[in-house]
Amino acid sequence: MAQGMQYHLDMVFCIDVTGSMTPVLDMVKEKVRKFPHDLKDALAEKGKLVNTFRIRVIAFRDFGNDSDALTVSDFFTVEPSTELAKFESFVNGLSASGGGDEPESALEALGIAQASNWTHEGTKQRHVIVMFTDASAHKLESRVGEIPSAFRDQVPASLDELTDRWDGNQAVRLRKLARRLVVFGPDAYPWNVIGDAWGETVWLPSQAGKGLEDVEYKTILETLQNSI
Amino acid sequence: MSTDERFIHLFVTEKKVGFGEDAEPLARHILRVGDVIGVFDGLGGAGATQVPDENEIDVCSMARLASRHTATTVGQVLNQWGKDDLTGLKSQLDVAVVQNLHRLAERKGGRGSEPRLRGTILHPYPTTVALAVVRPSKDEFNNRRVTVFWAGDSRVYAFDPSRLIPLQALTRDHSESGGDAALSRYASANTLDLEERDFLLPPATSVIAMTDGCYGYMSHFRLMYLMMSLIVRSRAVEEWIERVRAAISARAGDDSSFAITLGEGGFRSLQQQCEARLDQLEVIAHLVETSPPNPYVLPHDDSRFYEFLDADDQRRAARSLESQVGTPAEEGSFGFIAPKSIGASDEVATGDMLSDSTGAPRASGATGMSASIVPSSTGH
Repeated sequence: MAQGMQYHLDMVFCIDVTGSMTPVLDMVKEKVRKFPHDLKDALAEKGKLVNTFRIRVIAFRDFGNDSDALTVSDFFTVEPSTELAKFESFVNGLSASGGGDEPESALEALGIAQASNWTHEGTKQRHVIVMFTDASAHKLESRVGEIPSAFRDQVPASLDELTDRWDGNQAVRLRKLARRLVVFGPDAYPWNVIGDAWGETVWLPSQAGKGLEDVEYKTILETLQNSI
Repeated sequence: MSTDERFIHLFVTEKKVGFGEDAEPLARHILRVGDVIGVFDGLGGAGATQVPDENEIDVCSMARLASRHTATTVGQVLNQWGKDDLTGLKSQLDVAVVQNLHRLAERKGGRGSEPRLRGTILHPYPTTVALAVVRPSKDEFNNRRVTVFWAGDSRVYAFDPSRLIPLQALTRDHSESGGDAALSRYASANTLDLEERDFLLPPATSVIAMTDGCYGYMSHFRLMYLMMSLIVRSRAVEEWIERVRAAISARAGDDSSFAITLGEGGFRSLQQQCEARLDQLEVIAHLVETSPPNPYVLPHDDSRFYEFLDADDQRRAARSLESQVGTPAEEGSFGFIAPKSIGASDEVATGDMLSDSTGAPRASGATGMSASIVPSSTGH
């Protein structure tokens, strides 16, 4: 019997729920529900045992257009599976609407994701953010006054600051050793910057993963499986 | 010291047969070059993309193909080297490996069937390299001169049970922040910059190359103890290697590969030395597992690695050991001198110098082998 490495895995899904996501949101929700199971199985295959696995969901629209631009959960513990049903229920409850102009508030969502209460338990952690969006994002500088007060201190003022956080500047609990980012987003700002420049990132240029083929999904899973 | 091929041994295991990402190690004696051991571990995260295999019949991961092709390339370069002097070998290896991996990437389908995927995790044909060339030093002590070349987290170790620290890494992992971080250096179709170090080892010292599947699933002490305890129970070197393979494979959640070139005296001498030390190790096993820094095995990923063996640390550790095992520890047998930083090693004039237990260089004609590894040149 192999002695597996034990991991404490936290995953935050950032999901664009603006109106334009209507055609793909069901597919995204299905992937979000399925992803933790698939990843856990893939890790087990490699002898990497997930000791604790928590998932958080941040659903976003556009702060400049929508009064309900943000729906944020706490972490759900899905391994052990005490809150799996709650997590799935939260995901099932998401619906697409609003958004206004084409850029959305994805960078704010990414900032809030970075500022999550990431696990520091054990010796091996992984902090994974997965972004699903079909749009470019507003520059952070353009929406400073519109962020709800509860999240204002979690959102950096610029992409540079967001990047510094990703690089482990200690402003948040996100650990550089543990970080991974998966982006399903179009070939547009800021994904074309982040996808090519941020460390430990895999990016599928697409409309929120639309047209995601099995072989691509498998590769993403294997990338995470082998880099976790 | 013999460089007969019978003193070189290897194994490779695959967790999923046919899908492994460790190549079969290099382990051979090459005329005029010396004993060569090398391991190559394709990076499954960065190289997860599926591509046509060598025969273009089936598909496999870029990582699997990268490690195998790199092993072959390195073997070919060394076979054709034809010079006693290894100057320039690093550059030649860098160029040849990248050229061959690039060729794989440029063939039809070589970039994979998921060309839409981008990102900084993914790299074309990524693999680690850890290579040691072991030759007689030609000095009167018949020392072993070891040149290591590496990129990534595959390692080369010196293994000598007569040292207070029997197992010591001669390489330092290329990871961004040490430990669990992503690798900052490895071979790929884009680039390779092997790090190179030179060491002088006592004649009886064995040299081992291994991938993270061997060392990554147990502590350094456990790995060292496992190798030493299994050799005592083995009747021949083949049995020992097989026992080590089985023990590592049972613990590892990953592929593993391992190659060793035995020191002077071969298997029997190594076995006797291990027997002599094993009881002492057992006494302190629980202590070293629970109280880092480990006085027996340097914590490789610890920043103290380069500082641990200064004279004061040696004395402190020796006293600590004495109090634990009740046996006086000779300072001279404390351990190898750890690789210094590149700047510091530049101060050592030649590879024919040994250092005393304080780390100060002295002429090789002096008696004893007390401090046994001296970085004698750098690869940069």
